[in-house]
Amino acid sequence: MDFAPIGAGMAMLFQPEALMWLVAGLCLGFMVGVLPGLSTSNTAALLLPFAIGLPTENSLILIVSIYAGSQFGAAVPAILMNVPGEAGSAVTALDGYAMTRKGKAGLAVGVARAASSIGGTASGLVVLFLLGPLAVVALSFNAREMLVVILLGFVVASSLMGDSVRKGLMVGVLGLVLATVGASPLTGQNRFTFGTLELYDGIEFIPALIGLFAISEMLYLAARSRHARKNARISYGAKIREEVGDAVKGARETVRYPTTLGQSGFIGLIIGLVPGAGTTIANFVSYSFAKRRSRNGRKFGTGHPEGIIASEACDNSVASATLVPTLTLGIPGSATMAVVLAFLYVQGIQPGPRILVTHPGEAYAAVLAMIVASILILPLGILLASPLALITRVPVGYLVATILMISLAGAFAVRFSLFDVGLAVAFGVLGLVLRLNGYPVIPLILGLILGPLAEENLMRSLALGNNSIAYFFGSPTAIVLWCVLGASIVYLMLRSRKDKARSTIDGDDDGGDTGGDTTEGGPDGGVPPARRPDEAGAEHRDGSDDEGPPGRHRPDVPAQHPRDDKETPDGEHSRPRRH
Amino acid sequence: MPATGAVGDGTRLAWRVLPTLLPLSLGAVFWAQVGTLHGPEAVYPAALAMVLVAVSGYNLVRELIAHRSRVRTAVGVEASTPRTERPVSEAPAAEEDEPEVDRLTVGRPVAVIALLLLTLTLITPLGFFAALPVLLVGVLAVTGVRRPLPLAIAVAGVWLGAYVVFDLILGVPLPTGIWW
Repeated sequence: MDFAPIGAGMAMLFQPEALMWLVAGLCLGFMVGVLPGLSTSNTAALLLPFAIGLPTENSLILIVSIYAGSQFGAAVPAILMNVPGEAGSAVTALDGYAMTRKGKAGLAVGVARAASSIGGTASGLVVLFLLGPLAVVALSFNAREMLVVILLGFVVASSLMGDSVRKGLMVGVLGLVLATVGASPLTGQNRFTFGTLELYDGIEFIPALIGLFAISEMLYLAARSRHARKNARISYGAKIREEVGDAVKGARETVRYPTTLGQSGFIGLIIGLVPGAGTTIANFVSYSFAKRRSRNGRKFGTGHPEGIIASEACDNSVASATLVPTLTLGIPGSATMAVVLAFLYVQGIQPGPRILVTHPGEAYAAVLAMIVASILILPLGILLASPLALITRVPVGYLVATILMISLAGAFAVRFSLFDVGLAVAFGVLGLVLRLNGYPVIPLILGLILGPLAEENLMRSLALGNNSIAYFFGSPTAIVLWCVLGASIVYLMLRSRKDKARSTIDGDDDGGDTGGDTTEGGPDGGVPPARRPDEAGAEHRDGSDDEGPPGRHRPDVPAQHPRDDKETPDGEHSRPRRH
Repeated sequence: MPATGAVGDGTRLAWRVLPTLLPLSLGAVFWAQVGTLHGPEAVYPAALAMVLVAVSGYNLVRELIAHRSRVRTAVGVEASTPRTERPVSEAPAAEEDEPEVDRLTVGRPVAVIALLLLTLTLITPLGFFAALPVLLVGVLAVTGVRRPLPLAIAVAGVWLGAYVVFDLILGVPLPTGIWW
């Protein structure tokens, strides 16, 4: 194996400026994880216009360290107040909040911290050595294989997000259609610009990102809560010495369960490689798996540290793994990676297998940054634990106003055009309408980003094959990929029918759709609510344990959702959001 | 969600089908525009527009069916439950998963959207920093920050922060107007 690219990455990372951005990103990530309304994806989208001015590797380091930090940061309010900061942390709340009720908040946070750190570091190391071989395989892909890979990633990601397959696909196709606006990639013919000059270059995806992720989330927060002041008393040690003590105890407790730690990390790694699967799915799968396999399975949900380990080790592992499809195939593994992809395109870097040839240092710097950030979660998490707990008390109104202000400025900063600001607002409204009706928004971004790439590969393939359809099936790799695509489509259709049949049995013809406000998550759409401890890990009614997105299965009893639990008098409870 | 001021079934249906009508309309418009394109590059957007119309049409039909099913279930529950046994706050079973959208909840994001549009309109004549307080005051008031002193401090703080970060540190050339 060639270690030169890894060395190049290390050379880029271990510079004072780069490390400074890493630490800043990690701290910002903690805050992002804690604050309702902020997710890694909308924060990254807001930073994007301003990060363009930084060296590429520093911007990547900043975004991935925010991602790493937010996975742990989101666990803090989940544990202390049963309000997950991110959708995946809803699972952490099951045991974490139960431990807080028993007066073991410090230990719970310590376990979460240690598990996050170990899970993220281990997964990052695997990704580091996986990237090269995967890129070699992907390098053998030409235009037709890339087309199928893009379609596969797009179909899978769109289908796994949101309430149902049909909703995700509709939004994804909408994104693809919007991506055709502007000059065509081959001849420059203007399409669907309706005479608007600003659309000649197409719809800028940064304002669209800002609108869909940040503005729509703020509109949602404005709808859900009034001036919010968290009255919850947090009896959590404020002194550093106590923090260190809790951290040591938490780490000791974590390493007592190496099997759970290992399998959770592994599940996160595998699921993270699948575009669109995300931390929510991974955490539920990991939790359910650990509950079944553990000798202490019955204690899950009652305040057992193993429950926290299963969730936290997994979600940081997912964060590292999502770098793989993003960098090697150019297909974002998560919402945050969609922003990373957008960033790479803006910087003139083509993600995909060739990135390890053209920009190996930047690619490996990003992976190494994820590893170092995961390690630093331990010490920085100790230092910042108390301020993080205080940040949860920031009234939402201040957050909404500030984020909207940054959104307008950020959208303007792309091309210094007010048209882009209007575009961001329009996408924000569209995002709100979609999310409130259970439609995910990430497929829209995927369509905008991948659409031009798909069209370019399609046109190139047609040119190479003299417009012959047979050309698309002209190599073993292409045939295998088409078969995988076909199998995925069949699987998703069968799954959709199963969901529909189950909801018909429940007396609802909605075909598995959970209706209006199931968009408890972020821009991705529907997020499964946290379950009560007594039903945590209960098998899904279709008998398929933990297969696929747990959010599709509605439990018989109302699931515990953080919002249900003692909503504060001013109605402050922001739903968790996905990465 | 408070039951008073709840929107009716018609509005609820309109809200639920809105996400399907938007892409359906867009697909139809794009499909109509395809005729203005020429060459093989018209094929790809034409195919996509067709797929969009088909998929969004399918979603529209499913939403309509789901709505009809919910209405029937609601009517069935009401008819089968004797009045004396029906709790005052009971919601129809079909709507358990669906929060009641009431005017108060709808009003806030609408107000924020209006503020965003107003700010956007004011940016051209006034400039970004002069128009910003309009957005900040409005959004804070909508989200419940109404006492004068906290409001003033918050607006001043955010405004100052924006100026320092965007103008002084990042040097982003935000729009200027007659006053700023």
